[in-house]
Amino acid sequence: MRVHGYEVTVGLDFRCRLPTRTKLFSPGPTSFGAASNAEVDGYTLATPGSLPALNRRAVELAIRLVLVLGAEIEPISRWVRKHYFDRTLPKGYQITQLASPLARAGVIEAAGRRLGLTAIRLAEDVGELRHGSLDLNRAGAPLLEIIGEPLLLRHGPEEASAFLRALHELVEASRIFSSDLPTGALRCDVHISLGSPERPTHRACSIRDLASCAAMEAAIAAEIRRQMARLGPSTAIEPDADCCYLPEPDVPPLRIDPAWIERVRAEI
Amino acid sequence: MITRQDIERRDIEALARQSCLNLDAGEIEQGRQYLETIIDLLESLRTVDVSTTPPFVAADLIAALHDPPGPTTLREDVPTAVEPS
Amino acid sequence: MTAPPAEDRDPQGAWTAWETAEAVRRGEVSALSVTRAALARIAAVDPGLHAWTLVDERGALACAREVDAARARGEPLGPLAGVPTGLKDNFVTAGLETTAGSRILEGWVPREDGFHALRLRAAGAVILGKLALDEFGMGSSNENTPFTAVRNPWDRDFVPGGSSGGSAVAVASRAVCFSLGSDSGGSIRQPASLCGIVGLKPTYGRVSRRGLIAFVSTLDQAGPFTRDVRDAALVLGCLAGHDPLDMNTIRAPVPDYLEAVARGQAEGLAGLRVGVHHEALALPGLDPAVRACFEAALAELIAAGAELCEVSLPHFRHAVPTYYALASALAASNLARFGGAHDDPPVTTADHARRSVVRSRGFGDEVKRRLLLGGHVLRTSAGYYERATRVQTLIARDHAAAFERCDLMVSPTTRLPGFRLGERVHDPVAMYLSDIFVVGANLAGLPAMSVPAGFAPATSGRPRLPVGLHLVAPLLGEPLLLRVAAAHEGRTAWHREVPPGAA
Repeated sequence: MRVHGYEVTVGLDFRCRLPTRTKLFSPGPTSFGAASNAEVDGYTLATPGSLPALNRRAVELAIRLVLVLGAEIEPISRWVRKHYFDRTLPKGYQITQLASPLARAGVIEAAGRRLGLTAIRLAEDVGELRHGSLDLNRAGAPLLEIIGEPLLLRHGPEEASAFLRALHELVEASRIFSSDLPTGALRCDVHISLGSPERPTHRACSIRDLASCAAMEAAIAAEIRRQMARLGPSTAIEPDADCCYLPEPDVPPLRIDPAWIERVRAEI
Repeated sequence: MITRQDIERRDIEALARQSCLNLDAGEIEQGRQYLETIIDLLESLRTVDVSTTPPFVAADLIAALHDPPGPTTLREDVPTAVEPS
Repeated sequence: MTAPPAEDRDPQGAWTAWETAEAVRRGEVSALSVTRAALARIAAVDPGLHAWTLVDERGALACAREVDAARARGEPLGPLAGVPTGLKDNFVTAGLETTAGSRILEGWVPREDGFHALRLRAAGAVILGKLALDEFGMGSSNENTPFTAVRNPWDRDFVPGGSSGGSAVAVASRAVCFSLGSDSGGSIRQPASLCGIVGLKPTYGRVSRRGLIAFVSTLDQAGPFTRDVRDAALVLGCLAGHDPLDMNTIRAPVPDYLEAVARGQAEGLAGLRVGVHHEALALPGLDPAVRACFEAALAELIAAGAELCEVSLPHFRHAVPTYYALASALAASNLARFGGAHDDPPVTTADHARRSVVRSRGFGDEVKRRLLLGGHVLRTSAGYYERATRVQTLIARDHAAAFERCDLMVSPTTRLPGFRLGERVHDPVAMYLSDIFVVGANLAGLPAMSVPAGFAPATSGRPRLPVGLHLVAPLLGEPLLLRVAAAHEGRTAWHREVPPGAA
């Protein structure tokens, strides 16, 4: 696909919220659809003196989804703090993974194409701002971040959304959810860059938190138009400019032995 | 190599912004002098050969002391009461 | 101020925690009377010292009555039954304002106790209040405070040390017989030395950090200030152990620390190899009186049967820069949360502009400086943080190698017996070098203690001031530390001396 001579490359970062009873790093309750700010415990509020304690069930569900994606689980993965200031992030940092993720490789197939996965990371979610109002329910919930390799669009935005649809089916097949995926369980960030054969492509802008195929397609199409026209305001944002990372001191490296993986594999 | 001449006012202004601090002109200058002084102190770290030395991981130290040995215990997925807001 | 006549002095002021708990358990004295006497001592001695940031008379008396009621019901009482205490104000305490020595947390009253307050209460201790510190633990003199600086009871022109200055003074002044402090880069041991009392930093991970407001997450440990070694063992025994909600705690049995103390008192130190840290002794500027006290302490250990050998820590001179690179970066990270709201409904959590205003008004100068330094350490392409963690590995290996030649390492705790308020406030490097003997144990995760080891005699330039002996043991070597410290204490009487400003 070329738009006025430019190639369009998209980077797809999927986020699947894992259905546990408590948050990734604290025993505060979490669920889908609770009343605003009903699920906010001391850790979520960044109460001084609070420490993270990793949820075993979250790791187990993550292992199951990783196996369904055909990815390889790293025997040791490590945690980092990603620092930035935002109302949705009371601690001022998010505990996630970076250079040593939970899993690597794996693939999602859709519409005759294969999307390779570079990394699969466990991370805690952040809160939400809805119409200027802050809801921290989602903050601290366990997320599996599924990072796709750059995808050259050949025909149009629907090639990207096809992978969202395919991932949705894979998540359902894994049965980590006991019924249909709740609203917001699966989201996607899309990084769009335009480049020409003369100039190599580079990451340009990102659109975050897309939750449906229609939204994805519309956002990609709009962003392509905007980048072509170099016109005014965009919902896209620059990639994280001001954040910095530190190895997470309070959570030890996560060790997953083959016996655990086999137990989970047997359940699938 | 970063030397003391490299710490300028705008470096402190950038650090202040990144640290979510508003500093007045006097504080910026004090911060600049402080950073220059302490960078000198930290410079000695560059003289140490760490090419074959791994980073220290406190958690590994602790893991080696568990008795009986075994991996770090992970928390069970059981909710406790939420703090009232 | 001269000390009141001996017969007016509250005799309980001289009791240890062990003696107090014994007396309460036997019914010889009520917890209520013990607490009342402690509150009176605070009122008498603290006005010139400023160790206590908050005294909760009502809560303490209610707690003491509870201990007495439990005794009347025939219930078993804990190892610290009825013993009054105070906690450094970076420990989270339910219903008691917890400020971490900072304006940014002024007015914050936690709803739940942290781990340490819970453990002390479970042991029967009576929490009288909170104790002053350098802001967020950043400092070695208790001068980095928006509140009143703490004074050393041995001479009020002198600093008590820091950052746990208030906790040290509360014990040194005989207001209470034990208190809790925290140690990231010497903040228990250095004030213990300057105040002439016992201070212990456990092995990293031996005591939970849950409820200790985080500063240098990879180094922070909570520990006791006491007047004697047996009390340090008693309090440590109440705090040590695995905490499932702190992933960096050691899952291993807690030994009988009191038994180690008894061994030290009863047996000698025959066969013990004591390593004398030779780079520390060769340091320029080591005060001659400190050296003299150190050598006298060595003589006591030899007389008890120990053998001395010399040990080297080749990366010793990199310990302070390593510490400040790590500490500033972790502080910047741990303090990122401040400026928002912690208890209010989350909808009032501050946006960036408001957060900057709150942080700029709420943080003191030293904190702001370290935030800038931490930001620089984390962001600069020089990779200071990662490099510092690699040098930390070398320092840890130096200690492990030294422990192949000796069982325990010793040095003076500080280079000088003390310094005056205001003397080092404008010279951060000189202030940071206060930690030069103690910070290695933090970096290597090792247990360490400072114990009273004599006095630097008065000169024309300074008054008589206490000197501390620093002991470092291998990982989980608290029993050995306590045993050697008890043996040394049994042969000397330094711990019985009372400062002129004491109750």
